[in-house]
Formats: sequence, structure tokens, C-alpha cells
Amino acid sequence: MSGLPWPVLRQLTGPDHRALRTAAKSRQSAALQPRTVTADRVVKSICPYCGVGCAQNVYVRADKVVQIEGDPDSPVSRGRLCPKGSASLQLTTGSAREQHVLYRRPYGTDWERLDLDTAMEMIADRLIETRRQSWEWESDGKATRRTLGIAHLGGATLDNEENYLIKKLWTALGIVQVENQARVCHSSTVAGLGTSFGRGGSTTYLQNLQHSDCIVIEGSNFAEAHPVGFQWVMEAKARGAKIIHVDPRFSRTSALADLFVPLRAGTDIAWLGGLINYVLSEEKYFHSYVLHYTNAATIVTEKFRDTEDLDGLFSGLDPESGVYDGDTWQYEGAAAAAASGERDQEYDELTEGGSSVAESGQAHSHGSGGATVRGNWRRDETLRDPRCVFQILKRHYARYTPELVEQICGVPRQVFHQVAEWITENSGPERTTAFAYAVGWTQHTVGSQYIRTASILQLLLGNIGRPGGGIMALRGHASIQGSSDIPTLFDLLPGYIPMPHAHQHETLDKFVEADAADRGYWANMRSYLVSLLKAWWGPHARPENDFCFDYLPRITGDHSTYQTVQAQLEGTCKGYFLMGENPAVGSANAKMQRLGMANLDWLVVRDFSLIESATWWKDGPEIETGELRTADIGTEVFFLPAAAHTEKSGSFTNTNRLVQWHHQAVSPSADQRSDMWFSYHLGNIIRRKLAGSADEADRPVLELQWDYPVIGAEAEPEAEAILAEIGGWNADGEPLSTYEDLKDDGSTSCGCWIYCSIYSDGVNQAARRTPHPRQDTAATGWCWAWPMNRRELYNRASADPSGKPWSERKKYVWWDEEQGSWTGLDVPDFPAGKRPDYRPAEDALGIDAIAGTDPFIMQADGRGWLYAPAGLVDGPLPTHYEPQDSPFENALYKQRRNPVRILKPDRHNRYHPSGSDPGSEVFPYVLTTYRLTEHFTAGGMSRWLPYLNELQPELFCEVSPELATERGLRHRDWATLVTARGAVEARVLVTRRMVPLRVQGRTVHQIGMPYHWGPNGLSRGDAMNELSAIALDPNVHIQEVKALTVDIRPGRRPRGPALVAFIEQYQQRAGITAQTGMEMVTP
Amino acid sequence: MSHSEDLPAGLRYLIEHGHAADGSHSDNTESTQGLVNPPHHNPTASDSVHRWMKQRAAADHQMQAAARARA
Repeated sequence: MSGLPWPVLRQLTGPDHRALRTAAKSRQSAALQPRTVTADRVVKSICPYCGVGCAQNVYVRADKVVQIEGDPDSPVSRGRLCPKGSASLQLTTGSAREQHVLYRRPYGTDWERLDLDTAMEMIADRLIETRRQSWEWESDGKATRRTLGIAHLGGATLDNEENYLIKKLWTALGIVQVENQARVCHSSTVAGLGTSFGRGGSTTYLQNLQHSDCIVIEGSNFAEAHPVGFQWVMEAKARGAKIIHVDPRFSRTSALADLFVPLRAGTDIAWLGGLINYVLSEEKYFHSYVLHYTNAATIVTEKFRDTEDLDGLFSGLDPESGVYDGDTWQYEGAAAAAASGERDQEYDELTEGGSSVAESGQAHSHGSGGATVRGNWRRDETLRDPRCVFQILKRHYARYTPELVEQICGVPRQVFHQVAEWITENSGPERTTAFAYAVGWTQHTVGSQYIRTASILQLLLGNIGRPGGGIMALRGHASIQGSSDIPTLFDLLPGYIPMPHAHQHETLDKFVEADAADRGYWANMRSYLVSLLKAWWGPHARPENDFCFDYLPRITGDHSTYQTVQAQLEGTCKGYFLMGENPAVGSANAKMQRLGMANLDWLVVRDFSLIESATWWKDGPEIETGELRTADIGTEVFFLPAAAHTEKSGSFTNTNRLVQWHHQAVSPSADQRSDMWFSYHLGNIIRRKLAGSADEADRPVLELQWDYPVIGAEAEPEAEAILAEIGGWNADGEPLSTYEDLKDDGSTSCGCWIYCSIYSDGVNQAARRTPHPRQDTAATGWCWAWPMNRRELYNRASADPSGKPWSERKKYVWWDEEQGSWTGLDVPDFPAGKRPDYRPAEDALGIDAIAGTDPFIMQADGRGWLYAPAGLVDGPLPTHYEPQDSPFENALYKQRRNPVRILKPDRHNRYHPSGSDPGSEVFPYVLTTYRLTEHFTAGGMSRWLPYLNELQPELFCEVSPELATERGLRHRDWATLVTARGAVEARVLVTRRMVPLRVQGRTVHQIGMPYHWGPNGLSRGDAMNELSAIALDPNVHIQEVKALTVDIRPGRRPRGPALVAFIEQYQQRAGITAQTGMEMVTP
Repeated sequence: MSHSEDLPAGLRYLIEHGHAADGSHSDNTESTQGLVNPPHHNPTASDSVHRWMKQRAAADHQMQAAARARA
């Protein structure tokens, strides 16, 4: 910088005549230097926000984090960070983080300070006491060995190693109500993709989108919710790909697409079903792919009746229990799975006609192992047999015409045809189309079937397992994939092994008999489970005690997070751990979440700041309305501040199964600790307090393998040791290199079989960081993806049946005859030496039963499932049903809604009249919800950051100019949105981004609203979930929050007791009773 | 290769050439971070973890017996 003091003089006399560089720089600016320059080291890390998994460089000076920037070496993010990732310096070093333990004594009116050691002792005491009081050895005469007195929620923002310790400890203590955000975000993804392909994770990876010729983004605002991942969509566009965005709301994703298709929220199955019908009726399917790689040719039992035959119902529905018996959906010649095959009178009585098994989340267990089908089935290779899957599919979707799509979805026929032409023109041997979706698809009462519909379409088009193809499940938390894989979920053990059911899984043998397939890799489930039991109970797990299988507590139905709330209200659940999750804002029907917590004996909240789930007793909405009084609330509350991602080592699993390690950069301050530290030390305290106990109930926790090495002044358990336990070892203590080496005799140990080999060769594979410029697209030298570092799943399907690439343009993995193995641009997702012409013997079992032409190696028949003969509880084919609350009748069938959806009747959870029901006009508008770039889920990691709140300071709702006129709403003024559950106020944003649609001959208005706000933090507002109801998908218990009905009116909502009266008035006007919306089969 | 006209020229250049037009990634085969960053910290193995694994396995007599039986 020149010494001249005045910028104008520098401009005139120096080289920078236009004052674009040095001439414009002030003296203060010139004296500044980047924080990065002053750092003395850089620590490799991963962004803790969404599931893209952007790599970060954490700059440290004198043991303080001074800057966080994007890591240019990452093949996923290439150095970029979105506003949230860029604000992570403020997240980790900002003043909003609590430093100390806080304690609210029962009936107390304010927080008190408590030292950390005392708090840990008190929490252990509370847990032990509640566990003793609520211990249950049996239920209905069957062993359960559990407590329903304690529950846990949280894990998607935590590391895999933390989730692992939490699940291990809680399971050993008999706690089964263990849940995390994965339940409420993407559980339906696991069921939908898992039953279709054999694994519940995204079939492709973000970078692979650049090779797409067409990308359909639906149920997602990709550009704003996953901004850095969206660069790969733009790469594809630059290479000539067509980009289509289908969504109720125009967003920045729409702005960058070639075509925006607005549709009515909650109707995507009709839309996708229309595309399936187009593909079938116009014969646009990829014939060879469909014939060889899907179950199109398989014959279905003659007992099967379709929704076309039964006006919206499938065969097998028991109206009394409200459960489908899937026997009539089977392949002809396939034996029913043991679980239902063993059914007798006692089983039916104990399980209420099978409903407790249906509710136990079995569909969730197909995350890495398809549904169990056994026997010998018949195929018709001509695809003409009327009972073959292909013909059933054609009949099922024949009425999903463009005209019907227009009637249901509000999408004009010409727009439908444009999309149909683009996706079919861009599919086939030479071209591929990808689908990308997020929670716009998952959070419905038919969420699992949404994902199934896309899976069917992509299989018909031959787009699974191929470069630029696939289905990209966009996940919204740093490790929400990981917290499903290594689950803090009630229905799963690590690696998608189902939690045993009391009435179904009495012994290890019965468990394997009921749930393991006899063909494909899922046939080895016994080895996976025994190795897990060895990881948990080590030398105590022996053949003579069934490897401690009895130590696993049993489930007896639905113990999901929404059932937990009910249990809290009923008084059976008395203690609650919240770790990095904020249900008082983020879960459906936020009022019921808070009322549930108000009925607890004790509550432990671990988070960065005082989120609403920690303070509801003091300043929650019910305090304002007078429904609760602080001095009357007996819940004892412990708040423990959490460590940030920069203050602990561990791994996140991103949206495409990529496990990425982040290193500890600095130690946490004051009482801040990692959840790994909390779980480990709490476990130690409990074990110390129980030492010497002769109570059989305590044996599992006392014999638990809990001897991790610790590091640092805080005695942090060494995360890499936990990762090594997850990855597995043999009897020599050598890390395993493949799950094929796992044994069922106790000679191997492995905490999560799908993560086996993550520590192969004694190397933390998840920490490898070969810079992306040195790698191909798959970038297999960057971190590690499950399974076995494979990036594109089912990639055997990228070659034709003979093993040759379908085309040169789309070559990816192929058979190398000279080498006698599969090779290519990725790790082959297929047995390396299995020849394409290998055909199994008729009696072959396990992986030997998978032919050289079967790409879906986790499926019992090796095929992609167009039709799901097992695995889902609400039908073998996706069918359009209206949402729980809808302004319309079902234009396809008499049956309105999913007949086996799960409802939770409660006076605070009333449902709306729908369709032509009297009173439905009181809630005439459709509300859909979404995420903003600058905020994060329930706000716990964004509403306390000044950077982010300056960018998005207030709750708002988006309405069309037409709706604004109809309801007298003015831009930037207030509006109140109302349902039978609650009312919220928001600023009005009048915008053409919301398009009124013509549906069934009338106009329907839709309203968009983000869901991040709550009463605490720097920017405050009402929580959208005051409006939502608990209405759930029956497969996985995910809530419907993407398609609600509401009323909207100008002005602010009432305050205090007047708010309660206001809601009651609405209920009365609409004639709402306890029976409203409760009918399962439409009369 | 066709390109959409509405993409920024810089992005188009990056896609076509594999490096940025401003020369900031002049050596495209190596990480560029060494030019601007202090040394980074990315250990991928731990001796203490290796020792701990062996201890855990050795202490499990059933595991040892099962492995011997298999051999």
C-alpha cells in the first residue's frame, strides 16, 4: 500500500486508477491479516451441520480455534462451505455456548449451578433408581428384560463412536426407548430403499451426479438445504444435463433448474405413478435391465389382490387388528418367513393379531439386508404371465394417467409429458437419470412408499448402480446416516440387525430363523450378530449361553419417539435423556412433547445452549397460556454443556454413506464434554455403584466390555479405539478386512458388520485424505464408505449380463476376463471373482445362491424389487392415498388414506375433517414446511449465532398474491396460522413462488413455512410444530409434516389463556371430536 | 460437450479444464494447501489402539478357543 494517506491520491497517482485494489484499502484494512496466517497448526475436520459432509480446516493458535475454512482437498466439497459451515467458528467459539452444568430442582423456579462430578453422580443415581422401579422381566409371559421407565432421544448430530457407546450402554441397562432424529427425518428412506434394493442408504454419491444426463430433484430444495452438494448438479448442468425441480414451492433450486413443476404437497406417489405408467405404456423401459436385474418376471401367488381390485386396499387386511397379513403378497412358491409362518393362537393373542410385530419397525431393518423371502419361485421371462410382477405393475398403475395426475397433483398434462420425455430420453444404455430427494418425500403417512415409487421408476429406466444414475437421499444432519447404521434407534442393533421381539425371538436360533435370509449376504446374519455380541460382552459371550443373546432387552411393539411421548404422558416413562435434539420445537406436536416432559421425574439435556427442551418448565408456551405453572412441575432437570466437533475426535457418516473422521483440535472448556465422555463415564459410575450386585438384571451392564483407553486431562475415551471395536478384530487382535471373515462361533468381534474393514490394516480408513485432484470421481482414497469402501451401490448393474459396460459412455464396473475379476472406476459391489456366467445350483444357499447376473446382493433373489412381496406393512406396491389432513377426496379410490397408518388419539392431537367432510372448509389451505440455508433443524445450532440470525432473523410464511387477497394478508405484516393443535404467528411474505393450483376442479392455495424457530435464542418465533399432528407411517413411525391443512388469517395470535380458547373455538367450528379423521378403512 | 449458456464463464472454464481460470490451482495434481497453510494434523493410526485391540482379543478365552477349533 502506498504511503499516501488519501485514497483518491493513491488512485490518481498509483497504478490502481479504478480503485479496485490497493488504492481503496484503508489503513485499518491494510493492518489486518488473515486469521489463517497466525495459526500454528491446521487440524482436519468435517462440518457438523447437514449431511453433505464438507471438509474443514480448523486453524489453531495457542490451543484456541482461530478460524475454520473449507478444505480444498475434499472430493465432496472442494473447499466450499455454506453459510452454516462458514459460521461454525461462531458455533464452536461463540459466547452463546453454556460453560457449566445447570440444575433445576423439582418444583424449582430457576436454574442453580452444580459441579460436573456431582451432576454425574446424581444422574447415575436417578437412572439406577428409576430402572429398579420400572424393571420388567416379562410381558405377557415372555421374557423382556428391560425398563420402559427411561428413554433417550438424540444422535444424528453426534459421532458414530458416541452413538455406538450410547446404544451399547443403554441396551446393557435394558433401556429400549432409544431414538434419534433419524426416526423423524429419514427412517422411511431406510424402509423404502432397503426393500427395493437390499440397502437403505443412498444408492449413489454426490460427485456422481455430475455424470447425470438428467436430474430430477423432488421433495428437496437441494440448492438451499444442501448448497455445497448442489455444485454437482450444476456440474451436470454445465455438461448439458436437464435439471427438473418438482416441489410445492419455487426456490433457488427451481431457479437453477431447466423446468420447475409445482405440485400439490402430499401427492408425489400419484405423480411418480403417472411416470411409471408412461414408461410402461409407452414401452420406454430398459428391457434387458428390467428382465435380468429386477423381479419383473417373478410370478406372484394367485391369492394376491391389488388396490385396483379392492378399491384402494390390498388383500390380507384384518380390519380388527388393522394389520395386513402379507401372505397373499408372496411370490408363488415362496414360503412365508418364519415370523409369520410360526403364527399360532398364542402368537396371535400375544401380538394382538400380529400388530405388535408390525409396529415394531421391522421394515427399518432392511437397511442392509433385504426382506426375508424363502423357497423356490417361478419366473416368466416373456413378462406376459398375468401374475408376473411386470403385468401386475402395469395393471396397478394403468389409471395413473396424465389426466389423473393433473386432477390429483395439479400438474398440467403438457408439463407432465415434458418431464416424462426428458427422463426417458435420458435413460438407457447410453444415458442416465438421477433422482434426488429429502424429507419432502420421507415425512408422510406413506413416506416409505414415496421412496418405493421412485425406486420402481429408476429400476424400470435401468438407472440404479450406474454412473449418473441412482437415487440420492439427501440427509440433513452430519451423521444421520451413521446414527441409523450404528443406531440410537429402538428397533435396530448396529448394522440393521433388528432388535429382538419378545414374542418372536426367544433364542438366538429363533431370531436367525425369523429374520435371516437363506440367500444373499443377509444369510450370514448369525455371524454378524454373534460378532456384535462378542464386541459387547467379550469373554462372557459363549456358545453355551447363546453368546449373551438373552442380555438383549426385547421390544414388544412400537417404542419409537412418539410412543415415548405417550408413555411419558401416561406416567410409565419417568426419565429422559436428550442429546443434541430439541423435540420441544423439532418434533411433531410440540405441545405434547413438552407436556410429556412435564410429567417426567427427571430430564437430562446435553446441548450447546439453553434450547427450548431445557427451559420449557420456565418459559415454554404452556407457562404463558397458564396450562402449566412452573411451581407445580416436578421434573428435575439437568443441563450439561456439550463439546463441539472441534473439541473431540470421531467420525460422521455423510449423506452417501461416506464415513469421515474429524480430529480433536482443542480441549473443551469448563464443564463442556463430548457425549462419548458422558456415556463412558456415566457407564463407569453406574458399574461402580452396581459392583457386587447379585441381581440378574445387572449382569449385562457389569459384564459389558467397557475398558476403553482414555486420553487428555478430561479422560476422554479414545475415539479411535471405539472405531476399531466397531470395525472388528480376530482372535489375534488383528483388524478385519472384510465382513466375509465374520464367524458365528465367537472367533471374531465386530461392533457393526457393515463398518467392518473401516480399521483394516490397523489404519483409520475414515481419516484417509488423498486430495481429490489426484483421484477419479469415486475418490476411494478419501475417507471410507460402507460397505467395503464402495461408493456407488449395486454397481454390478453398470455392466450388462455378460459383464461388459452397457456403453462406453457409461462404463463404470465391468468383468475383466484376463484378471478373472470385476474391476472399474469404483470398488465393485459384487464378489470380486464371481464370473458373470456363474449360475447357482438349485439348492445353493448364502452368497453361493446369487448368480453372476444378480447385482442386488443383499436381496434374497439378487434382484431389484419392482414389487415387494415382503418387508413393508402397508402394501407391496405404492398407491396414492391422501394425507391424514387433506382438502380433497382420493380421486383414485374410495379408500382415502393409508389404511394402516398410525394415529395417536389425544385431546391435544386432534385430526381435521378431510375432503367432503363437514368442517373441512375451516382448514382449507395446504401447509408445507422446509429448511432454510441459514438455519438448522430445530435451531439449536443456528438460532444462537449472530452471523446466521442476521441473515434470517424471523419466522415467516410464504403465500401467493391470490391467497393474500383472499385472506387480506399484507406483505411483511403478521399472519396467524391455525390447526386443531395450535396456532402460530409469522411474518407474511407475499410471493409468486407459491403458485395456486387447480385440483379436482377448484383452486388450492399452498403455504410454505420454515420450521426452525422457537421461543429461545437470538431470533425468536413460534415453532411450526405447534401446528402439526402426530400421524405416522406404519412401517417406521415417521410423522407427516410436509402436507397439513391449516387456516390463515391476518394479525397476531392471541396471548395467554385466550390462545387456548382460540384453538377450542376452531375445533368447535370444524366439529372436531375424538373420532375425527380416525377411520382406517373408509366406509 | 454442450454447455448451458447461463452458467458463469469461470465455472465453465473450471469444468472444461479441471482447474480454475485464475490460475489458483496451477498444479492440479497436488494439494495446494501447503502454499498457504501451516502444517496440518491428520494421524491415521494409533499404536495405543493397536495394543489395546490385542489385549482385548487375548483376554477373550472363548474367542481364542473358537479360533483354535476353527484352525
